Amino acid sequence: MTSLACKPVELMAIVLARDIGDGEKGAAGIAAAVPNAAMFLARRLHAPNFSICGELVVNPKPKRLYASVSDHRYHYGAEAEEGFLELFGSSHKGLDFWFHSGIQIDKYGNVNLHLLGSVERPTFRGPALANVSFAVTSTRFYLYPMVHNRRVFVDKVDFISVPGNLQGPESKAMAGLRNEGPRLCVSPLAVMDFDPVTLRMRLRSVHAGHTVDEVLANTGFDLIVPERVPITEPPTEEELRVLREEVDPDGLLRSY
Amino acid sequence: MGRSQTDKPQFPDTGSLGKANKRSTKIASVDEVVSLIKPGCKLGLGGALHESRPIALLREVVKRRIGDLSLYSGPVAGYDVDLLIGAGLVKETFIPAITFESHGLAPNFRQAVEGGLVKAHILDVLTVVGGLMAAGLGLPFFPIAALKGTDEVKYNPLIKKFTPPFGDEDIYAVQPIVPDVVLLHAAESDPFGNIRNYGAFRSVDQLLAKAGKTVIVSVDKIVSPETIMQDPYRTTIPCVYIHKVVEIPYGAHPTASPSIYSMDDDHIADYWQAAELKRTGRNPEVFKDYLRRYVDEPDSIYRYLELVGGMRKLVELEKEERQL
Repeated sequence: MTSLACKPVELMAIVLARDIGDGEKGAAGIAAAVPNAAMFLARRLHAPNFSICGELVVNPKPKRLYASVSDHRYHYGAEAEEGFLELFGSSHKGLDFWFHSGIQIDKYGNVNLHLLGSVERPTFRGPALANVSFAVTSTRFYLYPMVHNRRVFVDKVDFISVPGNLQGPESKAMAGLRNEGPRLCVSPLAVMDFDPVTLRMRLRSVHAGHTVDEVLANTGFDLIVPERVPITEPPTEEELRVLREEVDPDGLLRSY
Repeated sequence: MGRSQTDKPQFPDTGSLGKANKRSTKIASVDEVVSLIKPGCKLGLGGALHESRPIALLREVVKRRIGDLSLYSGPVAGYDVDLLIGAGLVKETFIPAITFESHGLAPNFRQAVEGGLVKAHILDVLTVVGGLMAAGLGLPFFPIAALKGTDEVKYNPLIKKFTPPFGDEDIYAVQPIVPDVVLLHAAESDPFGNIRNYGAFRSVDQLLAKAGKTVIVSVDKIVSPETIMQDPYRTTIPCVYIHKVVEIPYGAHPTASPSIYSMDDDHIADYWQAAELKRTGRNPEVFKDYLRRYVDEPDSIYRYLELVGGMRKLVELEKEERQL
């Protein structure tokens, strides 16, 4: 039996892949190695009818894992190339899901990719993002912070680049946000979801080798902790094999 | 040259009968096209991130230190915009995202914005596409209905909320984006400016070409008019939108020119290191050396190409592109 030990980012990709349904439509943007791995893995395992679309390229089949839809090498094996008119339309109609990382994520799943401090004179200017709408118009979105600490998991983000559940159910409704919003937040330590009543982030499982206390110590807000917190279901032999041999043969994720 | 002084979009005056009653070509020299870029202008850059960027022309902008620029672009930028900022030539950016992806954040961009030297306007891809659509279609604005719940709408300088005549909720209008000069890079053109570009961002180039007042394209190679006429469906931007064409082989390096060469990841990584050493204050000399070595000193594209690795490197990048 092969060793099922894997890098946290590989487990993140595997957990996200499991939530992608057959026949759905979804995409990821730039600097997105983890969600890209998740999508290609899902398509090879349980979701052969899942379509990547909405971001110019339709159903690419790259030979290795690339971080970005903006890298034309990612477009190898595509079935169609659309333009910005179609991107404009897809952004309005929405997909089934979308992904975001973040320099800050708060207890309601709001995402900051723009800046820390004030808008006029930020103390830190992040990369920002191109599309702030896909997450809002799509049925749901996933959060995949690349680090789990108190600088990322904050009580309130300095700037809402992409709204999660804003300040709870009332503000979310007021802003006209009618979709599910953030479904899962998959970090290098744990899997979080959102309490259906308060819309606040809730611990769902902790990755093997980590503890609830460790997650709480690295989270800058009161995470809802249910009575029972299981270990995140480890990767199966098949998941890890397909990820490493077919999706990411060059080991881009293993290099993180 | 150029469209009228108003921002009302119209077809450019891009061709006239020459003395010999013969169709004029649009082929121009690098000096000629760069002289059209004035300090303080609104400059629109084609392609996005590290694909189809007009880098050779931008090196000439840096070499001449044409400054005080307002930058527009395809929705994501990296190397090119960071280089212009690092040379101190940028006043403000209207570009949604600026990043070096797996290499890191954009060092000069960060340093300049955090230091208050460059204003990085907050906007998104729909604003860029909508603004270019409005300009290209000759409309006073383009509607955007998908901006909800984001703080962007409080700061985006190009949009305004309005009550539309149809539908039941307020939406946003984005004003036309009309760059004074648009710089594109494409694989091929004929001498009259019929452009063929490839890659995912050709459609942003198509929008920019219809929005800008003066549109300049660098191409890896000039092909014959017959080549273009054999398959007009492959022409991505027709001559009527194009003012000048300049042939610069590998003119997008170190970014990619899809169908011909892949991006030079190694060069971009080296640049990032140099810029990051400047940002952190650990060794600002490395970035100065970069500018001197790759921008200021080379007296031709051929000298530049030798410096970045010569034939061996170029063949490698072409090979990667063929084996995609």
